[in-house]
Order: sequence, then C-alpha cells, then structure tokens
Amino acid sequence: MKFLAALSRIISLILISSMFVVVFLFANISATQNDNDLYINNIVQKLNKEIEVKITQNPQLSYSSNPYDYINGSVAYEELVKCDPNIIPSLINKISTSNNDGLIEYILSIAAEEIMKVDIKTIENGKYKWSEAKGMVKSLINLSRDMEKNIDLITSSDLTKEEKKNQIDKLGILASPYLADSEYASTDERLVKKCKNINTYLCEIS
Amino acid sequence: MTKRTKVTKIMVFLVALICVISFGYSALATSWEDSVAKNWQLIGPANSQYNCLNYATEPYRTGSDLLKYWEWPWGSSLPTSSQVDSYLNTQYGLSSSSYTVAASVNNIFSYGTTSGITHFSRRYTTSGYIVAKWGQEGIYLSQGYNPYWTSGPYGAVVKKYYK
Repeated sequence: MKFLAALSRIISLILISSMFVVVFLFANISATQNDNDLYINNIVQKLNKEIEVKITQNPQLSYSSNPYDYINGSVAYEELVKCDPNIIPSLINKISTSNNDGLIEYILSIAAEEIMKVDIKTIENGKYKWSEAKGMVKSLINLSRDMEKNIDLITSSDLTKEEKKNQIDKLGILASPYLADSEYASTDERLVKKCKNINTYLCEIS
Repeated sequence: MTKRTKVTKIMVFLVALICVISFGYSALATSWEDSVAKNWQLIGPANSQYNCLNYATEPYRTGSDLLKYWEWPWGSSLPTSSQVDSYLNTQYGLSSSSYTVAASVNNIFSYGTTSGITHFSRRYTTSGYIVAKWGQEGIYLSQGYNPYWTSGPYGAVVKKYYK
C-alpha cells in the first residue's frame, strides 16, 4: 500500500514536471515566433520609410512598376535577407495574411527567395512561375511539395555530377532535408533541421 | 528727393522685383508629370497596391483573379518585348501587333524599347486616349497612344496587345 502511494506520488511528480517542460518549450517557441513577427513588422516600417525618402530624392522612382527598383541600395532589405531561415514562416505568414498584395508584399517575397537561396520563377522552365506576392507563396508550397520528386528526377538523370549539383542548388536550401543520405548532403545539420521545419510549415498551410 | 521718397521707391522696386521673379518662376516651373508625358490628367489616386501592368490587364481578368496586386512576372531586369508577348499571351490570351496608331477599347500598349519594356497602358473608353497607373502613383489619362516623352521614364510606344 505504502509502495503504491509512493509510486503514485512519483508518477504525479513526473507528470507535473513534464507539463512544466512542455509549457516552457511552447512559451519559448511562441516567443521566438512573436519576435520574428515583430521584427518583420519593424522591417516593413523601415522599408516604407526608405522608399518615402528615396522618392523625395528621386521622384521618378515612384513611376516605376519594377519592384526591384525599390530595393536598390535598401538598408532594410539587405538587413532582412541576412536573416536566419527561421524567419521564413513569419515572412510567409505576413504575406499570406496581409490585406494587400502590393509592392511591399512583393519585396518580402523577393527577400524570402533570397534567404532560401532560390529563384522560384526560373525553376524547370517556369513551372513554378509567379507574378504577385501571394502567388509566390502558392508556388513555394508547390515547390516544397514536389521537392523530393524533383531531386529524384535530377539525381537519376543522365546529367554529369556537376550539372546535377547545379540543378539541385537551384532548388535552394529547402532541398537539404531530402539530400541527407546522398553525395549532395549538406554538412550543416542545423540548417537541414531548420529547412525541415520550413517544409513542414509549408505543408501545414497548403 | 526726400529720404521718405527714396525709401518708398526702393520698397516699390523690391515688391515689383519679387512679383516678376514669382511670375517668371510659375511660368517656367513644371511638375514631375510634365517630365513624363506630353499631356496628362490625374483621374485616380496613388497607392502601392497595384502597378501599371495590373491596371492595364484588369479587363482581361475574371473570377477570383479580379483583385488588384503588384504584378511583375519577371526578374530584376526589364522584360524584353518578346518576354512581354509571351506573358500576355500565356496569361491573358492576348496577341501582339506593331500597329499602334489605332486601337480598340482596352487594347494594351507597351512602352520603352524592344529590349526593355518599362510601362503599360490601355485604351480608354474614348478613342484616342489611354489610361495608365504610373508605378505607385495615380491613374493618369493621356491623349494619344504615344504620349510619353522618350527622354522620360517610359519612352515610346512599342506594341499593342489585343484579344
């Protein structure tokens, strides 16, 4: 009886401790996610301010429809593209949930591509082409979904090893989780894990 | 001449000088729009939610594609006329023509050069006029299908697109 009581106390203690650990971990993850969201909102404000200043100095800039013209020499943009890939879910979320699909959202899309080291529009002769920010999100989800298949096609093709590596590089860092057991595997295990999380996130929102 | 008369004359001269300079400045000064187009009339507000391509192609979008967005299917470089042909044909089923003197309502015009297209407009409901979104500025009505200065940001008309 005494043994059972002691056992039940130990089990209760373990369960309560586990709950605290789970709550703590969840709080940390939420805090990180909120930090990224806040950071992106801050960057958007900086981008808007920079564009405003640039137009004051060069009014003809505002007549351009080429979104890349607005990020030339942009400090805020350069800061954003140096971010860790962990920022990607927050970037995608910002674009997806925005009421607009305008210039700023387009700039965030370009930045997301640069962080993931991919030019989605040019993959497989435009199979994943996009023309507006929310379209980029759809294309990215499709690319992530097709990643394993695309890698298989490349690795089993008649291309040389170097050509295969070039093709795989074009798929960006999100390909890394699927290359773990291959000769093209990344040596950066933390990056692979981050990309796995991004692919999971993209699958969840699809 | 008394001192008072002298001061009065100097004051009159200064006021006249200021008036002449102000009038001269207002006569010579031009707006930024004047450096873009030979004629223009602002008919819609500025905003950065959509651009010239999105506005020009609006009549050709249906269903859930009706939304306004910043439309740019190319990379950082300006598209060639050939790339524009391909996009407008694939996306909207439009054909191209180098005959830009006459147009039907909603026909789209491209501007720039064949190696770098900078801008799009579409024919207004009134023949002989075009409407266009100028980047993130407003919507402008202009007379003629080739109303932009070649020295400006848009350049000459390149092609017409029609269904």
